[in-house]
Amino acid sequence: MLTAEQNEALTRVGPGTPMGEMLRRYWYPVALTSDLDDFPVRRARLLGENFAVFKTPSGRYGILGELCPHRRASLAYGMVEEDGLRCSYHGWLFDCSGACVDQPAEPDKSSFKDRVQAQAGQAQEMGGLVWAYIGPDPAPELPRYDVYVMEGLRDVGHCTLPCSWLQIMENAVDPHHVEWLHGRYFDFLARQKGFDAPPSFQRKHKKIAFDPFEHGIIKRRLYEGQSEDCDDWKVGHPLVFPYKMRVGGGYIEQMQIRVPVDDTTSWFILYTVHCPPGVDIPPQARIPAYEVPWRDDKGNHITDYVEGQDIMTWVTQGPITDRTVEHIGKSDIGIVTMRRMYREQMAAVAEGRDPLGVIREPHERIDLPCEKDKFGAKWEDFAVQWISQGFARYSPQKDVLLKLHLDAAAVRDAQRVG
Amino acid sequence: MGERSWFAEDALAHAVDAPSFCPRCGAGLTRADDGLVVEYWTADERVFHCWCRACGWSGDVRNVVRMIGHEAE
Repeated sequence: MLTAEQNEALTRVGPGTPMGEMLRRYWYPVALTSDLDDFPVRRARLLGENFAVFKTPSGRYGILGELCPHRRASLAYGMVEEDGLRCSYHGWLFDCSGACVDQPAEPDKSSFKDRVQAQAGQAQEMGGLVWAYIGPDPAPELPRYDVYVMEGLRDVGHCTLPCSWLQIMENAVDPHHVEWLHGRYFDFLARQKGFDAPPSFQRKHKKIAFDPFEHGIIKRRLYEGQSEDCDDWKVGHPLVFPYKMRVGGGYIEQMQIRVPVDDTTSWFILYTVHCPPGVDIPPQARIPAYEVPWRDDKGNHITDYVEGQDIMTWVTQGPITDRTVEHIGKSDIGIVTMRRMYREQMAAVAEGRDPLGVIREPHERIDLPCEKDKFGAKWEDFAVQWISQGFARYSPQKDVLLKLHLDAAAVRDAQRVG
Repeated sequence: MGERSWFAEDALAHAVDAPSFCPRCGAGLTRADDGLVVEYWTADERVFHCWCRACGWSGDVRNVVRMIGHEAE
């Protein structure tokens, strides 16, 4: 339970808010690379502000405040040129730094353009996503977390949700929900509707732990019947501060990305790499990305897959859940740990320091701790459950993914026999 | 059901009982630009996890209704 004032402080992400200022120290995905390959400019909304994100013919990326400084028309309908983005209304041209470099209707010798600067951030491509930084200079390095740069078959599901990113993040430090929402509720639903729920999620938690580390919080769980040598306890998986969660198992590696679009809207991206050894990974000329449906045609939540169940809880908590009337218990200490971390890092930014997880050193790849042996399940069984009863059931390459894991399991079996 | 639910009563209790100042340095804890006070429950005990921005202290403050010692063995 929080006061209304502290709930506000933790959930408002616009410019000038304490949380908004802290969040502006990080890079965020604002588009799919394939979006800009299909059409080189589009609108993006991030942290309560609107932008035009674009790709020049030679492959540079840029992000400008959406409204042209001239007469405030949208640059998201602008014309992309090699030197930047030109407003379609009167032809003013802005380079990737936001400098106005051409005002066609003004006199040739006018220095007026030198007085005009568009709001500009920085943009880069990595792993099939276009990433943007809209905070103060100097921009930190774009963190090359393992999943974005590792070898494997990529599969990206995504959807836009009408709720605060913070309640999605609180789910990332809430291990017990797996046993209930994805275990007992899934089983209840399965019995009602006549299908089999995935058994891996139904095990009972014995204890949970949360360890702050340099990239966020490592979440650990121990199920009844497991020893402390198991991956779920010994390795765990991290909340990657401030808006991601690294998860995986059974040769599936994933970053769950929860982009704070604004106070009450989140872009939820399930960035997944399938990488079982022993089989050839099919080449991907283009990383497939697809919308994950979460409501049916009657407007009800679709809850017969894992992420649909999560989405149901996040969205039904309300646009910004009222934490002045919540009742959290000892099993929610991960949430307490996380709220404190946010508050500490907001203070760090207010005092002029970099918050946790801002990377200044150039690097090739950042490996994150993440369990491989998940829930003690047989690896290929876990992979099949993940694909068939999770968001990947909507993937256009679902059958390819299933075959990849089953072929790899057959290779492992043959090696064991041999 | 009346206008006020038990949720409202708990929210009021939170507002009344949440520590307003850091036990170590006395700085404020509850305003948005202070530290943080999160209330959680262990059985029937209310616990306020506190973090003080001014001095960095953190700890749990418990609302004690009845003092109970251990039982003699």
